[in-house]
Amino acid sequence: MKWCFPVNLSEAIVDITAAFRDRYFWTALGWQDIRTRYRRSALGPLWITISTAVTVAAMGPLYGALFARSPAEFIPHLALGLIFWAFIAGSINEFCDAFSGSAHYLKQVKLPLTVFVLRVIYRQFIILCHNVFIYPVVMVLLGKSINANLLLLFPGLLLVSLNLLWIGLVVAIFCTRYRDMHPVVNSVMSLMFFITPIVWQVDQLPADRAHLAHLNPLTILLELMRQPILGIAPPLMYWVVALVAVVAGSFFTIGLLARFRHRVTYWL
Amino acid sequence: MYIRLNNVSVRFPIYDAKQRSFKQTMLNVATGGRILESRHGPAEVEALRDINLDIREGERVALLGHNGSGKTTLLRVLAGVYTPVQGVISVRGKITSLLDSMLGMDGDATGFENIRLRALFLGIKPNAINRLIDDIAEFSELGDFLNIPVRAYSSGMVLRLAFAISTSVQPEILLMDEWMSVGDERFKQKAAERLESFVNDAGILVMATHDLELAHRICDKVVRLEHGRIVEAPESTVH
Repeated sequence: MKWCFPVNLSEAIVDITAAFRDRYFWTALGWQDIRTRYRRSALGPLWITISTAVTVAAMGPLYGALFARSPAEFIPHLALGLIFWAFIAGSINEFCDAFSGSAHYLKQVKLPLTVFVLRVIYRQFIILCHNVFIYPVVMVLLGKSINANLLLLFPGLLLVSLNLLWIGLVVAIFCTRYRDMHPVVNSVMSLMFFITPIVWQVDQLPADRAHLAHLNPLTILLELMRQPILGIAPPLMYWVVALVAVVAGSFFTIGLLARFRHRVTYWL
Repeated sequence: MYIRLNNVSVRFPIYDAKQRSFKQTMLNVATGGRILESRHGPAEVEALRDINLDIREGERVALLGHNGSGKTTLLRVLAGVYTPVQGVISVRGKITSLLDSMLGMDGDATGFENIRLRALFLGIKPNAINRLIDDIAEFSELGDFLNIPVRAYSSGMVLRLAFAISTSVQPEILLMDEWMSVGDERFKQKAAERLESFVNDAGILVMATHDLELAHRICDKVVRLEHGRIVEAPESTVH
């Protein structure tokens, strides 16, 4: 083991590969987070499912009527939108604390920083797994069905997670250095809730404005997970954009990590 | 197994709210850095300066010095937590760092969960943890308490558990910040024996302490730090 200042590319790459090799590390931490978060409640993580179900039940009929859409069309769109948005936004919001919340570990043992970002994604993934159980109920109630396009959910989820990984490293490094970024990230994510087609649908926009929805990359990440369940194959353009984002984002992040990885513990 | 440091220096940036603020950084860029402080960057504290160390297998090194002399910072550099601003460090051997024996204790988690959690940070793989759990449970003498959240423990019980976990794996290179001493009279005796055999089996020990007598009893080399520099050390240790 040898390192010197200023740090090199290999440190950054080792950070990421070591985190993937020691998967048990962040899976154990992620599980423990969920366990402690719901320890003192009788229903445990079921609360996650219940609160999402209540939101869908309350917003579904109301906004369906506002938008003049039939329940069978609108409620599945809304339910999946909220479920997957919780995964994306929950991860991005919690990336802010990924390092500062684990300062006592990072100041004592040399650990890959990527571990703490993957821990957040994994934690949010567990929550997603709880939420997703709402959808079969919605399907039965509204007589919806699924088709073979459902299989596209898996590459979709993988692409979203890889994008979240690099976004997570960037956000976590940034929020550790600049402490006032945390509330900014939170406000941006609340704003994104309204300008991403979670509740509303892209086809409600006038034809000449529809492209605005696609300028928002979060739309694409969301649709890569939602459309397969609705039985739609996401357009090729979405896959290409998400893939290009993973590649470009990863290069950027490895550069950032190579430059600042060794400074993060000084900032904690 | 060895630790080698060549002219290692560590400086900490001291950020106040201004440097911590993204807005301020952007304003400084926009105004061409005319504010005096921003041109010089944040103030820095020199925690370690030109440290040369050469520690070989089998050596027991005590770091002595006042508060703020750089002992803990040096241990963190050895642990790989702080990358030196200048100089080169090379370490061969697996490091176990017990800078804070409470590392990773989660008040809301049960004793058993805490054992698993802390074991992760000591570098133990999950499949090896099961074998250690019985040993830890037996040594800590906590019995059924291990099934309830650590929050409900007395402080002495928390220390016992932390101690039992920390000393459960055989370290190659052991970094310790102060000697650990826990429990009532009877447990203290038992803990002292376990700690001594634990330390004796380590390939290398580096321990920070204020206690000169302890340093001479446990260690064969004493390195004295003052204001982040080595002021006294055996010839062979400083090259």
